Amino acid sequence: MAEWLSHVLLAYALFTAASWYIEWLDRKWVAVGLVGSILPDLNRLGLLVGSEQITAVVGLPFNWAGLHTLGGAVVLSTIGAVLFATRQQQYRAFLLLFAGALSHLIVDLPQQYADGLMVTNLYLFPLPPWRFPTPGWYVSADRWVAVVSLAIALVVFGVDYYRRQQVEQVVDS
Amino acid sequence: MKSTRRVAVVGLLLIVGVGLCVAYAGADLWAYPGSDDVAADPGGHDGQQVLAFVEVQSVDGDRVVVVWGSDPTVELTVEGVSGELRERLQPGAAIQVYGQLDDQSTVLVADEVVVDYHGTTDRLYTYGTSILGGLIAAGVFLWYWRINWRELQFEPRGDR
Repeated sequence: MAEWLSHVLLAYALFTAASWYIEWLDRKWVAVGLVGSILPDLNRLGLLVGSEQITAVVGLPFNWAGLHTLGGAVVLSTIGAVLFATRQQQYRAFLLLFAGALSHLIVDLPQQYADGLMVTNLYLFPLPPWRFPTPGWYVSADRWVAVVSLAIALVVFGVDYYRRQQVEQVVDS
Repeated sequence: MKSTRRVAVVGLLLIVGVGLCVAYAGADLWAYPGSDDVAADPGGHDGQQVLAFVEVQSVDGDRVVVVWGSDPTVELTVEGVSGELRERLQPGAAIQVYGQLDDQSTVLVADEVVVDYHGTTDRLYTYGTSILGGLIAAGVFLWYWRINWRELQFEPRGDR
């Protein structure tokens, strides 16, 4: 898994670029997308209370990794969306949270695995456990991932700033 | 949505989330045997291919000893690790080994090895940048949204 900084920077770039074409997608909704981009890693709750401990207490097999899946993205995005005030906000929040969570899973996919295949068998749950070849671009601790993510985010920030300046000039004139 | 109804809906969704984690734990998602399968029947898996996410316990000359899984764990000696890679491996490193089990599942003959974390520095980097990313996401979100504790909902800050 990539670290959260890369996920957040890439989500910023994605949703800011999308905001150029979607009128209602302003900065406050981009912020919702940023939160969505780290939702799947709520499976890290397992660092506080391990899956094995919950299994022992409940008596049922339990694995926090279920949150780091397509199904987990739907459930967590719905929980987040319910916490918004109006029906329209809830729809938009779900869309942004889910898109952010999906971006997280997609960014995590092309990592290096020793058998040469992506772990789509895990991420697609509850869909069938298909696996596809991985390009093997990185492992979690590779520093260049954050550097490239920062570069992409800065380019998008620059373009967004330029576009806003242009709009302000048109309005002023 | 009233706060009582919101709490009820969130409660239901949390139950669905727990159900998802239970279903996930019970699902058979790998084509390879897992550490619990091998621990239960060490002799029955010789010759089988596995993808093992393991932690390096010790590196002594040609011997790379790793621990696979948690509760139960399987201790394996990994063979076929290149000298160059062995020199870089430290106890505590997290690696993936794709290879064949042998000798009552005490040996794993590696076809391919990937190093996820070389050691503490890599882990600190990943946790540190993750905390930074989490703080940025939370900070930006709370810059544009406020929490209404009475209604248990997020509301946009009108002035931003």
